[in-house]
Amino acid sequence: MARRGSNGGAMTDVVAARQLFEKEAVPHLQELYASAMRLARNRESAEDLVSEVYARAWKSFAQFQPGTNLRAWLYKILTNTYINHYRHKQRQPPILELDKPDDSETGGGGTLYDRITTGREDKAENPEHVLSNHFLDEDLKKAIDGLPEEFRMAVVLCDIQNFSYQDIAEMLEIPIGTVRSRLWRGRRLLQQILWKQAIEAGVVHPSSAFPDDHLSSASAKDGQTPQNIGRGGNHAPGKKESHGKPQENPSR
Amino acid sequence: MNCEESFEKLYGFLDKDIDGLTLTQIEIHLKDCRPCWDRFEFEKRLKERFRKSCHKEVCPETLLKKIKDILEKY
Repeated sequence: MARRGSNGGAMTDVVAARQLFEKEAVPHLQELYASAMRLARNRESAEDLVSEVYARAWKSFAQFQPGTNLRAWLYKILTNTYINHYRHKQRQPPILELDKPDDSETGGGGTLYDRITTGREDKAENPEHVLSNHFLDEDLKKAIDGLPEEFRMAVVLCDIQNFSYQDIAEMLEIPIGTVRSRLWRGRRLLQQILWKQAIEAGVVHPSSAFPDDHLSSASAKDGQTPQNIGRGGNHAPGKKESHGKPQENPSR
Repeated sequence: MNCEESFEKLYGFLDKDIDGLTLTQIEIHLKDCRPCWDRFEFEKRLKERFRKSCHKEVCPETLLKKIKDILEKY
């Protein structure tokens, strides 16, 4: 991040600085909050996190170099603040028993698209219809919340906030190759989580083409078959977060 | 470029993290290969859905107030 040195012409006019801050930094509040919700995963912590980001940004606003990317600078503060002050307080999501993405696996097997389209009776259904009809906003957010933190940060910055790999590398202080691999693995995990949630919800069915679908559901302690598992059932791989969609009866 | 090679570049393509030549090669492949075109289109939609669903979070009024207070205080 480009920043001016401490003796490099700090803004002395507080009023002007405040006006500039309100004009340039405050409009990013909504999107920073949206990101903070996915990092902190609850309203209260997200609010605290964003307040702290603005307090820090305002205090060091004199160091901000006008004309450089203010938005990226705010996100740098957001990720730093989160990493240094918040993540330890957060309960980590349970490590889901997901199949490990195999980096040599480049043929596409195992993506959400494959699971929707491969070896299914209802194959004729357009995968994009499946996406829009069976995956609700809450499901998508919950899937992101289920990602391990390092993948979640990369996914939020890239998929949700559209930052370039270079920006993300600078924010997280990691090499750009690491950004690529976190996104690759993160998205594969995200799609697996999404699919597993949908199986549990009973809105899609495990595919025989993916033994892992059956394994995960069959690992439910009481031996329920995947067919008996409905939305809200406590038979996920690992424990589920309690937030999210209201509990409903199995729809089948 | 074949299906496997284009799949390897899927995320680079979606995230605009590839050079112009590779971009053109992928576009040519997608024009000729319906299955890959469908796959890429699906991934693009999925990414868009994630983005939209997250941006629907509504920032509480109280937070804006807190931030105004911070600006007053320091």
